[in-house]
Amino acid sequence: MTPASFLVMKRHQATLLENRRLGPGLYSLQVEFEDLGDVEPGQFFEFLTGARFLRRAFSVADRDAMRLRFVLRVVGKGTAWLSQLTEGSKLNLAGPLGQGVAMPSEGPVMLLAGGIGAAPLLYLARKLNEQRVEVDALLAAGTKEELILTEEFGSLCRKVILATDDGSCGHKGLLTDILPALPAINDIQIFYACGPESMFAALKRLDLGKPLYAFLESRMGCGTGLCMGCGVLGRDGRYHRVCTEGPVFNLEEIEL
Amino acid sequence: MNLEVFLGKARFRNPLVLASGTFGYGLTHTHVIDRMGAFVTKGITVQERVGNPPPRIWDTAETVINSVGLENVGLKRFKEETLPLIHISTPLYVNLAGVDLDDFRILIKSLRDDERVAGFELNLSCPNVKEGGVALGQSVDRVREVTSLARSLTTKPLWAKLTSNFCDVRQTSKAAADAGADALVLINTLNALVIDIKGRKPFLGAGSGGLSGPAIKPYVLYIVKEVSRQINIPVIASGGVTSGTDVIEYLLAGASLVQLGSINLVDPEAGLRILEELKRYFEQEGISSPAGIIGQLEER
Repeated sequence: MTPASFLVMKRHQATLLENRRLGPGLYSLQVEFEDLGDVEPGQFFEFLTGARFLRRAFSVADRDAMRLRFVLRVVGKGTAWLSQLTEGSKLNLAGPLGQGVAMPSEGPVMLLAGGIGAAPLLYLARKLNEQRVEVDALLAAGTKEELILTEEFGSLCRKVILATDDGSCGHKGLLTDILPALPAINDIQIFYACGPESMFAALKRLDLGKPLYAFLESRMGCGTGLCMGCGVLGRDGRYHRVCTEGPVFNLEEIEL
Repeated sequence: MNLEVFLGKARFRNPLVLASGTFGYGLTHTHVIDRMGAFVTKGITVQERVGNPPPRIWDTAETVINSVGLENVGLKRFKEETLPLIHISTPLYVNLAGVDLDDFRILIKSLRDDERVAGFELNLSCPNVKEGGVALGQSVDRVREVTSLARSLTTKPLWAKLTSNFCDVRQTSKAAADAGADALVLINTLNALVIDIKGRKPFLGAGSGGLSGPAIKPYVLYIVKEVSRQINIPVIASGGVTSGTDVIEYLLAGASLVQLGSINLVDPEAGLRILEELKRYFEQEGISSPAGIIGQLEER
């Protein structure tokens, strides 16, 4: 059996070119690689940190030649360590890991982002744009300060709709409150969503009648399918590994 | 230089062993497995187990805490679907996770005649399951019964993987040795709790987990030293190895083989690096074989 390439961990010594604060606890890291093959939307890299034993997984938010962009939110000591790195720092990374998302044959598609969930969807928007698939984005966050990457989506999407829980920018309310009332959703062929688990659960209840692919986040051990540390419960009653069977799943196939 | 180790008739090309649960079923990263002394599979149960609900993993700077809960394909699928796909040149040890004597009987009878299986690791120590594992390993009588049954069913090498959680591992080690185990694996993960203070509840889905990683190495070194001096069968150390010098420490303390566990989660090729570090140390120190240093720790 020949293992798929994402099952064998490729390590990189990469250089941090830019570390920019995007909002409260939110940072954009621009990383330059010496050697980088194809990277598909949905795939992720694992970062070694000086603060924690295991690597930390971040999806690819954008690519420009040999440079990848990652967006992180500080939630603990590993992410805090990464957020404090200065430009020029050397990074020990592994990837790309995970399976890329199934690209649609036709559009229009809609991207549904909750908070930092915007990150992997931006790279998908870039790829869809390259393939001339029409794409809309609904970007939601708690507050205006937490809405990220809006300009980047603006340059790649047919339409960008913004929403905040507190109404400080765009529509007021949760993404799943606003979505059903949007006239634009009628001709959407496929949805891609990334956000907190509560958002996925609400999307499941909405039942949009079209395929919806969920970009999942999970605490992860190895990232290569060895440890079974990152299970998500499937409709079949088994746990599926987010790292190697995902991280993108058809929302219908998983239980939340 | 020759890194070979023999435990009885069983030959290992070097003292490094990939620990159960940290390297899957041996279907990927075979270029690493093929350089190691032995490979131990994920724990196999009679029935398929879906494992524990997430979150299943947590870490600190020097530990991993997992509560995977022996998720595995079960004996039937392992034998029929997984085993035929394992193509490695390294001795394959199957970790058997029975709940009771009947389970161990079924597991061993089903796998003992398969020539791909070099030997068995009896899981008397998993902390993440309600039955079996630790519950067996904490009892001297259960350890004796399981090992003795296993011994009566197979002539293949039998390793007893033990726990020190709420029990005297010197006594269970003696029981396993008396009952015919070929080696002791010391030790499985330590009971551990992670607390979510906001929710005032355990963080891990299973409620608690098993602690591993570099922080437990000094504790396990002590156990390895004590047990290897008291018990007359080889000891296989398992506890927080991340480097070649860690392996040397365990060999000096009395281990004949050394398992690599948590470090595989950070880098599945860590075994290759550790092997090179070990070779370099042997060269620099003029040591011709592991036998030259196993148990050679001197008194202060």
